[in-house]
Amino acid sequence: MATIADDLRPLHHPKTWIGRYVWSQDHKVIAIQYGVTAIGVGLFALVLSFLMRLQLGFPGRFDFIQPENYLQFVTMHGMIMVVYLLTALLLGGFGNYLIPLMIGARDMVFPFVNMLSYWFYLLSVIVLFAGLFVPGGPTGGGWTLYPPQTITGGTPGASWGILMMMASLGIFVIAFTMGGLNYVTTVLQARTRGMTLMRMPCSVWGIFVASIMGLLAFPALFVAAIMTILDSVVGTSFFVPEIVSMGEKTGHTGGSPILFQHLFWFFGHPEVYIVALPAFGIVSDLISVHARKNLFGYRMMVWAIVIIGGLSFFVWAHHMYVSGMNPYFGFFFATSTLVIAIPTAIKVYNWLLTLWRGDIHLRVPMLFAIAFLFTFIHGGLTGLFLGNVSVDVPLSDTFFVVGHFHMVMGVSPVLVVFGAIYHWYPKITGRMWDERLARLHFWITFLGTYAIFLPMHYLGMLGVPRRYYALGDTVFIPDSVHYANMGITIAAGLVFAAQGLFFYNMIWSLFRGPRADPNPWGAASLEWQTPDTPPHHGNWGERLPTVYRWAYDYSVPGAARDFIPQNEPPPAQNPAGGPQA
Amino acid sequence: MRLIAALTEKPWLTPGPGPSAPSAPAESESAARPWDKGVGLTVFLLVVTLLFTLMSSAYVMRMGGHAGHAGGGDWRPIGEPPLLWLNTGLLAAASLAFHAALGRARAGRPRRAGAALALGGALGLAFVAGQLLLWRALAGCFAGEAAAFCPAAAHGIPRGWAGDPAAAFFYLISGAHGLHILGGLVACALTGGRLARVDPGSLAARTGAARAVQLCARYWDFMALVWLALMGLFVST
Ligand code: HEM
Ligand SMILES: [Cu+2]
Repeated sequence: MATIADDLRPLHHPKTWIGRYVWSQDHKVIAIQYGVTAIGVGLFALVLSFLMRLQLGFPGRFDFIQPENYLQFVTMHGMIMVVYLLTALLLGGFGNYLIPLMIGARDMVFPFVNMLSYWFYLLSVIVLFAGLFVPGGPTGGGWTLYPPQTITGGTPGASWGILMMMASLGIFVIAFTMGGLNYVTTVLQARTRGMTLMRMPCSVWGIFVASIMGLLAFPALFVAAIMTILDSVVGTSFFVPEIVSMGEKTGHTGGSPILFQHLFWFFGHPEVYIVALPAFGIVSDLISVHARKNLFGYRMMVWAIVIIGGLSFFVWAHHMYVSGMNPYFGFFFATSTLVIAIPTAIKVYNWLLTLWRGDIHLRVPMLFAIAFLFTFIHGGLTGLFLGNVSVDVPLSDTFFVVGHFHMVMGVSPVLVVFGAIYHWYPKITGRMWDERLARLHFWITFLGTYAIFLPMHYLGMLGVPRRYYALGDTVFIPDSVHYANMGITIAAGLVFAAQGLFFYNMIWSLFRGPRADPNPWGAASLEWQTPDTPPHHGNWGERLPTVYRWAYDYSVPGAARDFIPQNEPPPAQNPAGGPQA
Repeated sequence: MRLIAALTEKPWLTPGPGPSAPSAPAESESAARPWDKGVGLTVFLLVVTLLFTLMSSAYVMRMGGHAGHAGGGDWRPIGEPPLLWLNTGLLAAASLAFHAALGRARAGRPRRAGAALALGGALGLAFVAGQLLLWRALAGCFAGEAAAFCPAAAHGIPRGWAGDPAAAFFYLISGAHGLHILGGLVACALTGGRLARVDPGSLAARTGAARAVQLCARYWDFMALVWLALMGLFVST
């Protein structure tokens, strides 16, 4: 433990290789641990989605996909993508890497807890995967895990699989809480001199608000998980009503399945924004940097993030329109849902206005950011359909919903993640990736996702239900559905294969890529101004930076360059960096 | 108000050093470290609040008191044995002991603060033991023994785990609370160890220790309040 010149927080200095890279307390190493684990798990979920597509595109051709396997794939795919990939990657990965660097801190304020957070996350992943090998296999109850069906006979994994899933989620919540405490406290406490709240880049704002939301929303999942485990193992009746399963009474009485749904969606809806807000923040920064323009309406952007975060705790029951709620609730929740569209639309307009007459450089991170605008607007519009009770009722549980949420919370954040990785890769590794491969990866991914998810809306309007292993001979399903399904599967295969380009590019460039400029995009925010690239332990060398301006001084009239770093003093000031009052 | 001022700053208008961020070390007073742990604890307590609020809401909804969504009509309130009140008293007493410890630690008497802290810890342990007795009594009800706690005593035959949601909720909620108390006890034991090792001659060490005790006291007050709210829920339903 030692303190550096002007920083009062002790910094933990590891002495051994293991201390530095395995049991590391350095936020950058933890970020990479989180990121690599999350991407690895996400790859598995991607494989699952391809297996599902194989079955849907060519029903019955693949013997190893039985109906129960299909349901297990759906469940694992959904849960992994939402929780173990996106939440972990955006908050554990990008949150860890970016927060200290963007606000000018040396590390998170509780580095040890931060380290524990990662190891608990890894444990939750291990338990999740252990669930694949228990008797009966993993649960097939759908990612929403609604009881009673998840814990009664007939559903795959009803005895062991569901327990492993719930245990894993419980551990994940603990891991997230430890991480989230760090992200929030660090933003509140460890900003460097001059870094006021409104000088923070939008990325930090998005991650900050999403962390608060996570801290408040995940307890609901935790409670739901524990109560389900008790219902299943001890035989309590929190959720499970009196039922006859396979001809026998289960012994439960009077439990309320709707109660589970309330708990689940009190977590589940904010979860959508836990994933979306960091993506919003990052996209704002990517667009501003690569359009060489300040972010249009910065304050509105920040307020919108905060307001969306707050409102999203009051809309959860829009997932329950068909669950038999009191209809007046439906009215309330439909209204609050549509109200969220206002701040969200403001954000979209501001992104477009930032692009307007910008000096747009169509580099790969920017391509992904613009692609996000397409998919997000698209998903947002179909969301307006589903937010209306009367429109939702016929569309509920069809592929329209699958198309909608993949656009808005599947593909959109993933595009941002790709953009962010390409954007910060030179800072993280000190190397540059290959431009041609990256462009190829972008175009196949972007066009491919449209080829996959656009037809799904059409299928949904025809009434094709979601979570169905096969459609069989159904009267209202025309032949065109089968052709569409085949086409979607082929597109999914292409997109799947194209990710190989990404991984190859990232790994190859790590060793063979040309050395990167410390600030290749000419970005103004603090993380690009570190004395070393990649940043060393402690980030800032001898002295913490002092911040003099916001993160968006691009193309300032009269300035020498087309950007002014946040830590560059205004001309009148003493530029030597001497003591400031 | 300060928050509103902070959030309405127009960052593009004001290049310059700006008002210092909260943790910016003041040139003069280099002994004080920014109190990250205090803020961290506050954030954590927010999470705990939500946890218990959600469990309590689930309790109320399962009772069937919630519009548009009936529980199964099988709700039978549990009894209120005297032990429940005794335990509540123990918890409150522990809280007082922690405050005594805080007063002494602030007055620069780490050893005596340590003693008060130990007393608080002992009372906390007694609380946990009392809760375990309650649990046993409730389990006894399921086994058919009559006791003050039993829903059966007032309302007919015992139904066991599956049939007595009120009892199941009592286990769930008081169990979660008990785990938080145990966690708090571990943290306070660590603080106690620190108090024992503190060098009474060093001002910095003493203030640091006093802050640690303050965290314990704050956590304890909070968990006591949570318990009072939970008691209110159990007793009124
Ligand atoms: C190319 C990539 C992807 C493909 C081909 C794909 C495909 C699918 C398919 C075929 C289903 C099952 C539909 C059904 O039978 O109900 C599904 C469900 C789902 N997917 Fe994806 N998906 C992809 C990426 C993602 C991503 C990035 C997310 C992140 C949020 C995601 C989240 C979900 C969720 C939450 C479900 C619902 C699971 C359930 O019904 O329980 N997917 N996906
Ligand atoms: Cu929602």
